[in-house]
Amino acid sequence: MDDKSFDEFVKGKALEEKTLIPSGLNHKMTTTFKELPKRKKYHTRLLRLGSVAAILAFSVLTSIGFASPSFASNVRNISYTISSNISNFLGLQKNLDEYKTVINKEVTDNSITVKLNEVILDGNELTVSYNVSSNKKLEKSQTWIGSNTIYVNGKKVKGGSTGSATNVNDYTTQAVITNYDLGRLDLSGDIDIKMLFDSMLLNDKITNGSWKFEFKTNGNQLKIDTKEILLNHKFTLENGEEYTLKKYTDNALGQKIYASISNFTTKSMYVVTLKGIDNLGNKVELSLREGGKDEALFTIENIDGNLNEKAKVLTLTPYAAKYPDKSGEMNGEYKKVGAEFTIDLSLLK
Amino acid sequence: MDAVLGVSSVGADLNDVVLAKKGDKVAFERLFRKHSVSLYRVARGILKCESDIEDATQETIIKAYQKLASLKSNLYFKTWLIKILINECNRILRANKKTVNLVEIEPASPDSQYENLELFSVVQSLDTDLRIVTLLYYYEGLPQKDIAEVLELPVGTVSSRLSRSREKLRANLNEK
Repeated sequence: MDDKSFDEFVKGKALEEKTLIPSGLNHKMTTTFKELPKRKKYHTRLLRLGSVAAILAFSVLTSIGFASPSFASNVRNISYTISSNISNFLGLQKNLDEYKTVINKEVTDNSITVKLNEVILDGNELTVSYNVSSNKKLEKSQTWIGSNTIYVNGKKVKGGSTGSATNVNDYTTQAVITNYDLGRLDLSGDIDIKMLFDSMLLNDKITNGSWKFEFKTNGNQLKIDTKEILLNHKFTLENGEEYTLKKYTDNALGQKIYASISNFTTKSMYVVTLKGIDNLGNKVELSLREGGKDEALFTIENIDGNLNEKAKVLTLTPYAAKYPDKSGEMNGEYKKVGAEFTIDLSLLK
Repeated sequence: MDAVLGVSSVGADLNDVVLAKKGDKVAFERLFRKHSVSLYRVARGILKCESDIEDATQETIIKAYQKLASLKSNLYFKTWLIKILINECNRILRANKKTVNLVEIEPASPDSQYENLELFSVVQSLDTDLRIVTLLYYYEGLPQKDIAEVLELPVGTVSSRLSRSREKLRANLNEK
């Protein structure tokens, strides 16, 4: 038997062996998982022109709204109803009625029903709430994952998105795709959106089909109600990339800081975050949600807690941690990469 | 490794990695448990004492959870976990060398944890340096370059160890 055949033979034997986790170890793992603290969210930097892996991860996010039966546990004051409410689902505690477009349309194919609940257009980002259901009872860890494509005014959108989902009953997954990046299209006034789901994933089983929704939405009101403060704060990473924080925005969906990047390089990559406190002493962190060749977006994630509505001043400091050049493990600690700066929220207009 | 799994499985794994990075403990536990048998085999290839294996696993859970957001490539979650585990096992080995055991060490769990144990028994009889490479190559399906990265060895060294391991396995296994 040559080496290759022998390797296959050994690998086959390895597959046949059934290894059981000892009960003591299993118990230890269970108690360890229970004692894990709630971890703050840190963001990896996704490069539009980055490594293949980053692009792959990005494209996975692009094509699927992802599911989390436990996302709810991280979000406060959620009341689940079949008629999804984006504000409740995301724990925003804001009335978004003025900004959302209610769709409430169902499409059934291959015995799977997708119901598009509502959407909100925030600048160039679309948030979409939908349900997926069938007559198959969902087990505890099962959630439907829908693969979808969005077209704006007839043009296919290639941007990324994030999202979360939870089962609202034994047969229905409710999902919210957040921050669906619609790119640099003209999104003023009414825009025509086509959302096409072409497959549904449940565990490892993919069901192909066609669940198509066409609707109009309009982000003008939210745009009008979005307040902003212009910023001009620079900091430079060790790799020479210079970030210029351009503006801070605030609206019913949250807070963002937009930045431009110069001297962009792919030679070494950093995770960047803006950490500090508000004038009430609450911790505040704006994490890098999207980093490109020449621009970046930092956001406060409500999964970590919304910004206190009574906050008047934010005092922030830029920090960065370097990705390792070879392995996937992050060895570097966050280091201060720029001077502390303040944002006077009373100047929002 | 993940790359050889079906697309949907990789997608589900990636999905969980993304969720876990966002702080979803359930997704993190689901991911970890999915790979727990692999991790146990690797730990058992290095450590002899069951309580040491438990400690190494516990530390791996904690460190992976703390550092998950920094995982550069979601596709390499399993390889990354294995690397953390091996580092923990080695740390425990080093610590054990510095201490004098005043109590009798609890032996690693008996082979009752296994069925159809011929291969594992043979692998366990190999020298440590061959054993880990063998486990990662044959059981976990890691390519040699990934093994080299996990163990921080040149690929040539991994290849050489695999070659030696293969000869020993040939001699000890009943080829059919």
